Amino acid sequence: MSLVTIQSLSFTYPGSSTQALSDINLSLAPGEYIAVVGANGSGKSTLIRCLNGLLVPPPGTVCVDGFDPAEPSGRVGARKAMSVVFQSPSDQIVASIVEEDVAFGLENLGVPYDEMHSRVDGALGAVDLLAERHRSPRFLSSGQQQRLAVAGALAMRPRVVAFDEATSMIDPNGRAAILGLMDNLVSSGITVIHVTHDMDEAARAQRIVVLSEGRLVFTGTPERLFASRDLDGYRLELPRSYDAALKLGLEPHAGEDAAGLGKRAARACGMDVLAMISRLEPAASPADGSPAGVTAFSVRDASMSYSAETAGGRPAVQRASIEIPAGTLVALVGKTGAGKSSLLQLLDALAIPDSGSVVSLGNTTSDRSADLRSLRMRAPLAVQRPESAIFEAYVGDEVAFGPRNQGIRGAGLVERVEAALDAVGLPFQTYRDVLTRTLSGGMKRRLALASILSLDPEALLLDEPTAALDPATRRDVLSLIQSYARQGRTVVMSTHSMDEAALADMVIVMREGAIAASGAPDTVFGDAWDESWGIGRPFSWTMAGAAKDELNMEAVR
Amino acid sequence: MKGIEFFRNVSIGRYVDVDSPVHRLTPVAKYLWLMAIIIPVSVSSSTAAVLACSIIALACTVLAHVRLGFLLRGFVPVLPLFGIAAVFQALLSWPGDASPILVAIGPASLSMREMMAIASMALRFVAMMLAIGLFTSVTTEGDTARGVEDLFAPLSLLGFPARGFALTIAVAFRFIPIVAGEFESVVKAQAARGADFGSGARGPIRKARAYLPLIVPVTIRALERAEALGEAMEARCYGVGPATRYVRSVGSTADTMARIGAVMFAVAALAGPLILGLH
Amino acid sequence: MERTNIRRIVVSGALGAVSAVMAVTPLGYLPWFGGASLTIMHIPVIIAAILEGPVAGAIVGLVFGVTSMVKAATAPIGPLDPLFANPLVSVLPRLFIGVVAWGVYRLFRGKLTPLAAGLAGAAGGITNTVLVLGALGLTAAAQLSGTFGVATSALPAVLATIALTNGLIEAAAAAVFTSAIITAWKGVEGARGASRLSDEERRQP
Repeated sequence: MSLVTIQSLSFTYPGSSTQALSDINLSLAPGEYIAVVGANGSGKSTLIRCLNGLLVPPPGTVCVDGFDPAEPSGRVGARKAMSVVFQSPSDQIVASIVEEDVAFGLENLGVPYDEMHSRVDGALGAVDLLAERHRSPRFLSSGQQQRLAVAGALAMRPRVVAFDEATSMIDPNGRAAILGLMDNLVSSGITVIHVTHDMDEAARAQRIVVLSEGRLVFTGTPERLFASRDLDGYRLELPRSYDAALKLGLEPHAGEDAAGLGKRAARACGMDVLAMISRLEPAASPADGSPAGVTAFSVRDASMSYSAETAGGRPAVQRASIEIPAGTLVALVGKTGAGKSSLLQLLDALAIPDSGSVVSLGNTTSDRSADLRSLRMRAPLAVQRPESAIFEAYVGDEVAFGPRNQGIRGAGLVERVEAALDAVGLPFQTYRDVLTRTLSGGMKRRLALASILSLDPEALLLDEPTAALDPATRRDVLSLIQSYARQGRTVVMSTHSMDEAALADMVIVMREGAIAASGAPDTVFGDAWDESWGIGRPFSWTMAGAAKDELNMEAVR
Repeated sequence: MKGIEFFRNVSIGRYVDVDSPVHRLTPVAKYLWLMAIIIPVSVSSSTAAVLACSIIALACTVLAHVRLGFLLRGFVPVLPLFGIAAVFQALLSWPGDASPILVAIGPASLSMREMMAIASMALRFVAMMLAIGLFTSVTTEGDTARGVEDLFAPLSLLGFPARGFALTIAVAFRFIPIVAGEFESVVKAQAARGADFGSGARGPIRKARAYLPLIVPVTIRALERAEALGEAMEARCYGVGPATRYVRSVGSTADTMARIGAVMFAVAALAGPLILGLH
Repeated sequence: MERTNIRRIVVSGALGAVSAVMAVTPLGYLPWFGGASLTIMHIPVIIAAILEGPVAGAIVGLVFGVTSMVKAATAPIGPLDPLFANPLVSVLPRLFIGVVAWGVYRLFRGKLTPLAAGLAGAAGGITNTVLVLGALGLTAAAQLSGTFGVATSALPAVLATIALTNGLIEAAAAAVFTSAIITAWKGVEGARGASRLSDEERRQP
């Protein structure tokens, strides 16, 4: 008896001419762990919403725990049986106290007082948030907020929990915690549906379902999917460990992590393994046209704290010192709260150091006579999720905003806009008069970057430019950044992905407001590596590390 | 760092977390006393009533273990206002003012009635500061919303959506820090592109349009978040039937007495001066 | 049915939060000429009324009013704050902004959305100015004449002057902002259906 049955489900959004879902057939058993993958627009989120009645499917096509969400009476049953954890952690939290939010669903269902309290205690314990139960969600990290959402889902005692790209907007540590929770749910008999872009995450599931343009094109084990060679057609990529194993000539295992693969490679390939692993990484192409000897940013013993914080708290940036030569691509890494955004703001003169000095593009930012406004346009900062600042109705006007503020008009203005839009993959002729409201998330990110590029700046400061993007857009943004750096402009970008950081010329590691290390990726991730930084290492470095350990152990034996 | 990050810790009033008889009252009792003080102070023309309200507010502040200075520190910046008012009252005189002159310097004179008017104005403000400030000091955000639900609970029998109303307030509280953060983020993003929000603009139309890069995205984002929250609320079965409450307000005889007392005080403060003919 | 209720709750809550943040921080003030500033904190009230109806507008108006009252009573900065601590001045008038804006929007909804939204915005702004000044005048007649230094009988003239100068500008600003926000949210095409880049292309070098 399957828990969720989908039969010939087709769905079209009102007012749309294309089918968002076409003839989907799928069955889920209790305790199953499935991943739903597919490119943007393939219908993944639509499918989840048809299951719990947020979108009304045609009657008789969907059955969740015996309930049909097409009927108003069945909707409640379907929603009790299937809870959903949504993508944005903070936008699904209703209450201002953690434990009260967990109770929200129970209040709605009219659960009696005592039972409500014991269920909330149980849910908080299951997600390890008991210590935070009286706090306000605004003080939780995004990972903790997402765990709170899972607690709220668990309190409803669902038989299925669907995660709608619930890991895309949280940092790697938080993501690992959520994935661990998914494993716990499955082992306690709850079905887990994990909608995701990330193939590494999808590989952990027992079964993968692939959607492409509204059709279900594949259902089967991860191994079968990766071996099938159809991935390009579905616009998907292989998980990193699978891909690396193939390249090393080993038999790939789905769901294997970097360390496991490294050990296996060491045992199979012996002493050659380290050389083979280093060949996996594309060689970094040297920058050309970079003016030698010029320093773009110079930070000397700078400290900065937000005045709203108590005196007992530590400064956001403590005694940081770094020299960034012009034309370098710099990756800024560190745990959430380490001070990356604050350092970027110091470089951009959005924040002035309380002590020490910052010299950006030749201007000392704490100098009272400095023209900070024009400095900020020469080294603009793209904040996290810059697409939230889009305000114009039309794409062309949005990109023109920056150069207009620089005083550029006429044909020159149009040229700037055209160059910027073409650079980000939104061709000028097509997109200049498109309404910004109609763009997808990935396109909006590109638009936001274009509206910074149109300033034709000497340097780019980017705060997590690839966060929450689908893999295709992420690749495009990264190659845009790399080409920009190769033209001789300075780029400083913060990131949570060490694989991205490995592409840079210089890596700066921040820890608790101070700069813990800086240098070429080979140095920082190699000899200078320190576990206590709290960040991971790029995939191949982790593999190499595990391989080395394995070789040493072999030598000892 | 100065300037842009003052939005970070925005909050309406400031909750003081101590234990006191006032803190232990149910939200409804707190609301009733708040209104029992605010309504006469706002509406009544009787100085005696305002005085009585001020004394009650003062007593509650002490009972709540809240420092008087904490609530009244906002009064100091406003003192000049009363000074100016006094000066103007001195220079002008009210028609039909027959009260005794208290102070006279040349043509400027302050009569008893004028003094009373100024003192009354100051006293009203003090009473409001104490009452409103105290309410926010003893009531958490959650209780503020739940208190509204409890107050309107009798009306919900007639179909008034008390829980919905309370939930709207709870959602507003929940979104305030998020919206404040959004403002901060948008200000920074637009500053990077050279926006100056109208400080450099000439002409009223251009000045107003220069603010669009701030207000449009923040409002749109707020509406997008509202949509996302609405989905989550619907998925968590809001509105399917009668709801229970996770946080209960524990009533007691003392609390009921406090509620009755508030209503009686309000009636006395409003009707008393009229009956007794006081000013 | 449930969805409409939920929509009204979340939109009112979110816009109430925007209004509250604007009331409590300098964000609600548009820097104007000569050191003065216009208030724009009533814009979310108007938006709520246009999108979700008069009830939502009244609720956001209530949140706006209460927030400005609490701010005036707990952290006053200006000479009018003692008067705004009075709910008859800060709360009561704001309950009507939404109703008026909604009514005007309904009236002109057949025409271009940007126009209807702009008119609704202006109407909401005017309502705010007229009712607040009216409440100020009525409830604080005795005290107010002290603040502005005029005899009580001249009060209506003073208030009318303020209403005309400040009020009209605020109404115009409200029209601009409301129109921009509503057309952006509804994804409505602008007047020319394209970006302004074509203007730039036609410019003489």
